Amino acid sequence: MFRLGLSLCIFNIASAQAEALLDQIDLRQKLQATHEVSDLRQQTQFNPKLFPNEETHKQLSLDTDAKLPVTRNVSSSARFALFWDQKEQLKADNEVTTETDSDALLLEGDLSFHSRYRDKQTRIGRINTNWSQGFNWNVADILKPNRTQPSFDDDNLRQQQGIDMIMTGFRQHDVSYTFIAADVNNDYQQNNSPYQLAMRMAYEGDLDVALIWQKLENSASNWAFTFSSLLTDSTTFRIESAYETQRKLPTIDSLATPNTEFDETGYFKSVMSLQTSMRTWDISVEYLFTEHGYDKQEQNQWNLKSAFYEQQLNTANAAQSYQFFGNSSSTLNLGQLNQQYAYFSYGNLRSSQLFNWRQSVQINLQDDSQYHKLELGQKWNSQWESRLQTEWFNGCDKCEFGRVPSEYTVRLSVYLSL
Amino acid sequence: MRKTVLFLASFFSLLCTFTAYSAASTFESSPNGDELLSQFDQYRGFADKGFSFIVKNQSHNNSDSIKENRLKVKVLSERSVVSFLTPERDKGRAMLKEGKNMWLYIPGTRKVIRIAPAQRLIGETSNGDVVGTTFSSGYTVESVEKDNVYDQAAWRLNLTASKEGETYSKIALWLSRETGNKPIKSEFYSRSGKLLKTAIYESFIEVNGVLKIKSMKLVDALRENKFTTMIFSQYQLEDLDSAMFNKDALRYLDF
Repeated sequence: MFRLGLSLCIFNIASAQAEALLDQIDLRQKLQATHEVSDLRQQTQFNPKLFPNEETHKQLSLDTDAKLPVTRNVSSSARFALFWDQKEQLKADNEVTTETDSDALLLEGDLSFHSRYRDKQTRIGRINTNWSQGFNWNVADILKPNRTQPSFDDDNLRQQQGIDMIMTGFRQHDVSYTFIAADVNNDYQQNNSPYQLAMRMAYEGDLDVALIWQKLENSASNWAFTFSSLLTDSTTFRIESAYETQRKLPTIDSLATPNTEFDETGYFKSVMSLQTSMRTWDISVEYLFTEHGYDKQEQNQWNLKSAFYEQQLNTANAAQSYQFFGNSSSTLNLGQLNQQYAYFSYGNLRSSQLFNWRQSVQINLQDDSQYHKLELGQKWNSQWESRLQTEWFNGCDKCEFGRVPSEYTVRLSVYLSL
Repeated sequence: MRKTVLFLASFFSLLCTFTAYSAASTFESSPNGDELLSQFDQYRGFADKGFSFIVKNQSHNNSDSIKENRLKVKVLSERSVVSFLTPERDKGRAMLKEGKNMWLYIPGTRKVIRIAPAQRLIGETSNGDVVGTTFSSGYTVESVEKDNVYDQAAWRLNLTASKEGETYSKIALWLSRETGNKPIKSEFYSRSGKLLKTAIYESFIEVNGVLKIKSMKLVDALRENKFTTMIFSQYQLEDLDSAMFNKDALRYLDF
């Protein structure tokens, strides 16, 4: 009897403590369902009916973001996502295969030791730094440079995954200093460094300036710089630049080999942005210059090689041709393929009116191909939202957006904030 | 001789009375504009002391639908942080203001981006309306004049932005002469002199013995049936430190 009473008492205390703990958790959850259908091109420059392409993609995901203060100076946070995906792929022989998969991913999770107002803090765990302030191109995120390539996708939670790191920092008035020792993202195909070091010094004020330094073992330093300021009470201006040792795109000559190679002679990338806000409409303009992309001469070389390997497909060199087209197709996911781009968007996403609209276009200034996007959103109530998105990849056969396997895509996304 | 002295004494006393009367009437016709403005500021803030409040913005449109959000605002002098409490989809968002500079933290992407004060949060409410709790820090009084508004005798204060980046270029502010300089309404103008919106101060609440604005209505200058009501509550003094007003802390606002 005494044991039962004691057990009940312990259970009550434990459940009360658990309840108190639950009360302290700052929880944000979002359930997201998306259905995307693509109108595929029969044949593209780098896929002469060799590889399957995704025709439809259904995804259900639950994004859970939790923060828990452990003590006044210690807190923890975690963000994890559960996914259910179903993809239909169209093969070269017009056969459709269906793949279903489920996955759980820890996007972020860290333990933080900090002063009361976090002007001094050390965080250990998986952290998403996101230092870039660009709209379409995030040049300054050099710690995980391929996170948002070829473009940032609001619905793709996998792009939000952080990097395992120890981060420590402090702030003196308007200047903050951050030091990082982190795992290396496998986007650095050629660098097998086990860790990376980084430092960021940022000034926050009328002119927002940050300088980022990053070093991988066996490689020279990478640098990034961000700047933003207010031009008028309705217009903001920003510049971001990065100088990275390793090129993001492989050498053209290595595309027909099993191990693609990346030059390490230093590459500059810079984006300039202007955003002006009217009553409920925002207009954004961006210009991107990147030495990582292929110039006209390299582009011609790539085109010549693709014509050559296409002819070799039914010869003894078929294996090499497959290698070339496989690597070339993968290169499409590595970001901007050429050197100069412009981006323009306008939208009224902040409006409380019925239906929000955002239209954007990304133009490759080297080959004039374009990527158009139109989004129609609706906030049905405080919890339910939906977005209908269409994309159109337009350009010649040998142009960047003319090579994308899809010509049109339509995606319907429904969100429930819990 | 005695008559002369009496005459002079009478003359001087008359002169003094007249001067005093003139001074008094001059004082009533043009009171100190800066004092009136700092009196107005007391209706939304606590001078240099740190404080917080909750504001509910209800946006009314032609249609019956009302869009609403709730924000918690912490203010210390020219710095403020805003945390989005509702709607659910915006929960976790936070905004920092340091003078004319503003940044928005978006929890989904973990990005902190610079935003413009003129951007609107909901309906007619701009970022500047929510965090700009005082006028005297950003505007100077150009003139004070007697006026009548809504059948009330009022002081009209004409304010101009004293520095770049203020939400509005000019503001006309009416304070009641009948009820101790209580705010009645404001008109907000763009750089080109165009009327953007009108704020009507509807009700007041006593906090620590001082009156604060409880609700104000922001009306679109072009479409009067489009308006947003800002309802203020839970005004309280807080021991705030300037160290908490920084971009890195936006994710961790302990609300």
